[in-house]
Amino acid sequence: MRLRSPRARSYVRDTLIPPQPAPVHVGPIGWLWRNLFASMADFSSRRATAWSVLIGVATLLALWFCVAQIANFLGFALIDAVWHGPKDGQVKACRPTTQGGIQEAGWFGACYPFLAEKWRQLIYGFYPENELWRVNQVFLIGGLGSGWLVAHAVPVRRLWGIGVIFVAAGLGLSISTIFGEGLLDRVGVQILLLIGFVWLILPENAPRRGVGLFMLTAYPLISFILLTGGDIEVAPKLLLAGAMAAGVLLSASLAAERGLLGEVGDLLGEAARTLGWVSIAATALLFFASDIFVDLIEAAGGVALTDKQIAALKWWSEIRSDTDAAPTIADLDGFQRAFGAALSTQELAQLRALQWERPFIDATTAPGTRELWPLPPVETSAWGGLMLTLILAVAGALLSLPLGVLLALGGRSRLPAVRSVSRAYISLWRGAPMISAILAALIMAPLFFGAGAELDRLALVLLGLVLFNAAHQAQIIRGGLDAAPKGQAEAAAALRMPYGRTLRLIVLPQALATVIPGLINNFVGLFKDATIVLLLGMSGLLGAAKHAATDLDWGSQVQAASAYMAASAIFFLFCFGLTRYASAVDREIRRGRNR
Amino acid sequence: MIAPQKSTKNEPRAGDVAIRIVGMNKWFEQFHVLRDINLTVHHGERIVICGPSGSGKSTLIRCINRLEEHQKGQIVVEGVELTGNMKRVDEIRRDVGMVFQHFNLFPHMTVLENCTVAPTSVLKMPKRDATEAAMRYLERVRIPEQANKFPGQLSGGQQQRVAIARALCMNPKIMLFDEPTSALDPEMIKEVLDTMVDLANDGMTMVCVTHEMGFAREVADRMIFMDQGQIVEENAPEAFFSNPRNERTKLFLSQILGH
Repeated sequence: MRLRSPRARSYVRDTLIPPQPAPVHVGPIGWLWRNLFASMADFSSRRATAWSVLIGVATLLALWFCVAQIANFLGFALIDAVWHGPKDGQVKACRPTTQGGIQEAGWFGACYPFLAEKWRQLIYGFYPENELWRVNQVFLIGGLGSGWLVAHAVPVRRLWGIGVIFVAAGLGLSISTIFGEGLLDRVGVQILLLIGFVWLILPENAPRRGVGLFMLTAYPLISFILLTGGDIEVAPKLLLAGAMAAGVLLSASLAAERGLLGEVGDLLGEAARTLGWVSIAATALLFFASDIFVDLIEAAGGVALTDKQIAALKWWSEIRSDTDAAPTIADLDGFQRAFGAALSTQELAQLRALQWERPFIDATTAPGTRELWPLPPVETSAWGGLMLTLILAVAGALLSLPLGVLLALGGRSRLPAVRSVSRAYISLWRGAPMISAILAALIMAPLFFGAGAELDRLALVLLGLVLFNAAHQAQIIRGGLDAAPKGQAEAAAALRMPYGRTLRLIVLPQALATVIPGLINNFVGLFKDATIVLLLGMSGLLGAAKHAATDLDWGSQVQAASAYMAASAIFFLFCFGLTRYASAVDREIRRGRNR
Repeated sequence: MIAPQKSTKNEPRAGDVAIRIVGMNKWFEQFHVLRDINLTVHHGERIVICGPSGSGKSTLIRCINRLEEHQKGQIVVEGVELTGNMKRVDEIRRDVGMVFQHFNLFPHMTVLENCTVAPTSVLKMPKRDATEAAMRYLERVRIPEQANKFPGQLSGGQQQRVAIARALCMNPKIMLFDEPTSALDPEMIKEVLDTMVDLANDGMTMVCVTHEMGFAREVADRMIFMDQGQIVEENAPEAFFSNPRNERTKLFLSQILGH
């Protein structure tokens, strides 16, 4: 625009601008034009032309690169892939002809018969095959429970389809158990059906609090007992000490709530209350996982076998390795000859009542002492695959959360000692790589617990993970505490709520809710980082993939690529789902704040 | 003027001293926010404090329930002197309820939970009784139907009325209002002021920081004008509005009543 004089402050247009054609930038074509072609279609000057050409060429190159990569991947994963192996030997499926296989030299594609054989290892590691149902139960309850908790982002009633899916899946699986090999055990099917029906008849507000409480208390206990098999040797005085500590702490917190401990009492009371519940939970866990509990069950309903009966069981398990089959008459004759006279009629009847199956299997592992307890022990060294990675990540994140909250609060404390110790702890662990934290736990533990103490390796790794992750979580939670408006604590103070209760009822719930996305991202990081236990000889998902990749039986060029592809697909599914959920929660929180 | 204190603490009588502030001073670091404040509030009295922003009105009433600490002078509430002793602070907060400019409702709790959290966790009132009492107060502020909504689902005026009900649930004898309508849209101011008028008519002792001069004219027993940390003028409402003694009061009134 041309001004009439340099100092003119206003301008009046005296001629109309000639009409221009209407923009065609609408619809999908308009979108493509605006976002792709507009930047390379400017030929108005030499300079603009040069840019347009440059951008055009760069776009084509990038496009070619992407297409080539996607084509490569699809070629490997789908087109060149082998789906079925030869009938006479699956392991030949992906081996080159030069080594007795059926593939031409230079062939490169995913090997699905290989994955079909190895998927168990990827998911469960070396968990005994007969006991896999236990892991499945843990997965199933975990998936359903967390699904339930996640579903709050959407109105439940609109999700009636999920109930239908559960019922259909339950029915389908129960039919599959009737016709031969079922995919899930019966209990799992029943749970599926139950959840489906409950979901269908549920009012809009699902009992989230109840489910959350279950997932945080009973679920870890159930999982622990299912996965380890329980029956752990525990000194009774340890249980007694736990119960007593809980009693003392809880009564102290009651005294504090009544104001008997003075003004500092409230904060201490909150701490005592929390610790009291923690020790109740820990004692309960210890009790239900202990041999004391199993002894009680055996004593209540079990048959205490005599030495002669145990000897009979041992004899039986030696002559019959295939315990699934019913005993033949010859077997029973032999049994009668060896033990018939030695055993009384009653003793014999007791053995028969045990139905000839389970107790004979158990007799080989724990001779004759555990007839009713259905869970033979599984050492943690046999755990592996996705299961181990998930356990490390979930247990690590949940166990470190209380410590993270304490550290975050300590870092803001008015007491200089508490503040500096918390901040030093946070800085120390944040400044070190995770593997050093885990190694520290593994190596230092004998120094703290005494050299002779036999400590489970997995538990020590978990300890290192928790100590490390707590520092990171503390930093995230601190952000939430900083974001909580000052007026909230003031309002609580004006309502006479003491500091500890203000923290627990007012500040922390809001602070934690705002940092849920951050905590989920932390969990995703932990989930991926937990693979470094590979360095310590534990095979998580990545370790299992690596182990499968080196299986010489298959002798194939592609098994590493196939195994890692499967592992990355699993990682991606979990992490992508979680980050999507984190951003959904984030949106929810923002919407709530703007309301 | 000052009646002898005969009544027991549980049954304050109109005319007894509720709050007495003598020679009170407060500093924020180097900044002298409140200078030589002397103020006596009697039971059943409604005091309105006004003045330009930054004059220390909010700080003054926040000192009364120790959301701010004073450095010099005396504050006595219901016969208890306010010191650093948390027990005394708690005794005083038992008698004093507060309503804030920005409501400060707990956003993660429903309206009903906002009203019952303190009675149940502090007074150890059984949940049923607390709910009953809360519903009574919510009816009094005329929003019982919102009891199960979250604060974020209510309008500003409704939120402030919930905040008043929440404070009443702790059975205070004195209510402090810190600019309760300044964060509200004009059409919502009336509903909050109406609630406050109701409260005043029921005989509640009230200390309000507000610029709502219509409200002040209607309910105030006494007007206090503050400027630069000092009480500049203390007067009956009619005299205060028609014939202010102080030049600064005149200027202030002409500014806020002038438009």
